[in-house]
Amino acid sequence: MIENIIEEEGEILLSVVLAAQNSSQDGGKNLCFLQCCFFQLGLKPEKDILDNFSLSADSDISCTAYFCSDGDIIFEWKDGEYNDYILESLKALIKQRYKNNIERVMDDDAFFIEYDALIAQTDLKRECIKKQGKVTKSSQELLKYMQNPQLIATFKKTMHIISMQRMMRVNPHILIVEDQIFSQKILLSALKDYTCHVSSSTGEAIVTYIEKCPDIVLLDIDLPDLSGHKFANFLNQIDSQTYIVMVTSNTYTKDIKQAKENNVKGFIPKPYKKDVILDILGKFKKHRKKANG
Amino acid sequence: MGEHLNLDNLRELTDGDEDIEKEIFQDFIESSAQLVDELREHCDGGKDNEAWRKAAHALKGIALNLGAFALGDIAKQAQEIYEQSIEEKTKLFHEIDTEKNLVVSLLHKEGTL
Repeated sequence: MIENIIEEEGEILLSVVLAAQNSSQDGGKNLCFLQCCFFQLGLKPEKDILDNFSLSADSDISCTAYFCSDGDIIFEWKDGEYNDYILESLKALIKQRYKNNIERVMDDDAFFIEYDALIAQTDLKRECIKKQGKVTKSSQELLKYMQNPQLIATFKKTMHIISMQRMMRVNPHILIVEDQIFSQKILLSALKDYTCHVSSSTGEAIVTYIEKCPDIVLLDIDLPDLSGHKFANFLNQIDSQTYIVMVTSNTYTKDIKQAKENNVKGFIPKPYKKDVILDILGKFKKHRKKANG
Repeated sequence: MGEHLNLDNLRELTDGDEDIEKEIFQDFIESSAQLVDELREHCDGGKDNEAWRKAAHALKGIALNLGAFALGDIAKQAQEIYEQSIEEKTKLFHEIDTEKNLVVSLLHKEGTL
């Protein structure tokens, strides 16, 4: 058995496994997994469970165990090296060892059912957010809305779930937040091979972000309702995977400093240049590849 | 001061698609006219300093993206002097208006409109 300790949450890791399963052309690469969730009680699994498992199961089994940052353990088998007997043995072992302290033990079928339910629940949340976003008008109201702790918590939870959709994508989806139609069209033209969404204001961009879950945000600084910096700050609070690139003719030191504080990954200065845009996309792909291991 | 109009970079971004270019030029003409009107309104006392700064900033952005570098330079100056007197800004406004009209006439000469 191989073991890995990763700085990833269990659900995110599983979505990567699902994406690998979906994109695999080779049937032999199908993966089966078992997820054990301990997070509800804040209990961290003890690694010696692996020793117990190795003793009770066939030592020839090739299995990888991932210890996730949120307390989940994910066991992963390659197809053909996995059967119901192994699965049931492991489930029984974990339940016996942790008794009532384990929240759930799920195999891949059960995870699919839960995943669908989460998506349905998220769609409902998205509808609510859309409605709330649409009634927000002035800059002050918008700022208040973006600073509401309850809403931030809802956004955060929603983003966490829908970010699984990102893992299924082959090419990144891009959100352009720019109020000038002229500049929107130039970017759309340069990015014609990608799926792009456009918002002309911060208020509109919040709704689009939750709805479309973009991989990259090309964000202007001077927007009619609220500055791009404030939106970048907000995105960082709700979405740990957000990838923001500023598109602007303002390359003043204060803007660069503020962008760095908001975890902005780069700048596309005006006039836009094709090689700069392609370079940014290349960097994003490397970043995502690294994040996905 | 930069060139009045250089479309090389824009054509690289559009892959030389003439239909898109026509659309983009038309958008530039409409947007720049609207922004110049906003600057004029400020000089006439109808808008505040922040409105001037925003309009100048937006004009700078679209001018640079088009390849109207001279207009982009003047708009940048306008953005930076947003807290100065109306007289100073009115002087710069006339330069902007003249340069914008020149760019529009060059776009027409390009034969794409």
